[in-house]
Amino acid sequence: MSASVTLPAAVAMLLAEEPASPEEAVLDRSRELDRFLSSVERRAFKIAQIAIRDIDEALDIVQDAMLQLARRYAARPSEEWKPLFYRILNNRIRDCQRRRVVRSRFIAWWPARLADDEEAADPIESAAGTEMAPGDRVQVDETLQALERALADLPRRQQQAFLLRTLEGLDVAGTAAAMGCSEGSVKTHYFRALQTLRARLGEFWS
Amino acid sequence: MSSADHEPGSLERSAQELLRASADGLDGNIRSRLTQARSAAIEEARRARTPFSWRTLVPAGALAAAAVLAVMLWSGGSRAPVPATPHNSFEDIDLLVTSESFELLEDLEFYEWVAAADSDGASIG
Repeated sequence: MSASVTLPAAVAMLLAEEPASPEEAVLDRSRELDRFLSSVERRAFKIAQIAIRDIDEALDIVQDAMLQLARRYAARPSEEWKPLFYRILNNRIRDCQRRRVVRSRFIAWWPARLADDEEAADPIESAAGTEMAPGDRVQVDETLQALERALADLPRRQQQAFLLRTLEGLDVAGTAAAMGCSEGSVKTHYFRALQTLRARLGEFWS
Repeated sequence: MSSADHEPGSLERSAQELLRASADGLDGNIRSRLTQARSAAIEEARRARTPFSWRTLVPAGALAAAAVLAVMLWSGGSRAPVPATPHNSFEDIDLLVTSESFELLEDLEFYEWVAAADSDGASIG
């Protein structure tokens, strides 16, 4: 230490270099995780809602993804959290969709009843009408509804690629990490999603 | 965005604006439930990462003390009497040496003689 450093400055330097206690480190990490989850929770919910079309199930999926990230990956570097979180989220969405497929095989009468009751009701609209809160429903305009319908009808991987890239703003590498595939696959899924959406939504953005 | 990414077109920009506005404008009930979910996750992470501390030892110590006490009470009732050991005069000498009575130490030679006389069966006086 040079002689030019004053005593208070030296004390301040020592205090700054002193490692935090384990309890403080845990608290700091918890705050960091809280900020991260706070920054992604709404978009994550939106992604789950578009894929699952049910508010309660979407909330359960987001909560499950949060818990899983906190339980297993909280100690990992924070820059890894986003791809990890969305990977968990996508896995939970896929699991939920698979359960639904199995369930639908046992409840074969359900679509027939819908067809009887309503004239060609759109599944997204009917799901949104019964599940969405009134306040949210008011905010959803015609364009957004059309976009969400088109997104919901995309194949799962195309939907994931588009939502992670566009809504969450992940780059190709981050999207590939979150989807567990190569960057080339991400580009392919994203390009196909764009083509489909342009063909279907051209009237809204022309 | 990385160099591998492309410039977003009008559809992507419009979709992004709409979807983000929709996510930001979620109603209070959903936001509240998301906050609850986040709090539960943070608590989970805190529990999983709480370091070793004396506070964690308190319940473990209480449990160990209770176990030791239980073992002592259980074995106390069934303790067998300690068998008598043959008399060894040298143990008496050790006891005398370790005691704090200096008066006895002064007559050490006398007690050694008494012990020797006992072992030989000789009568005193």
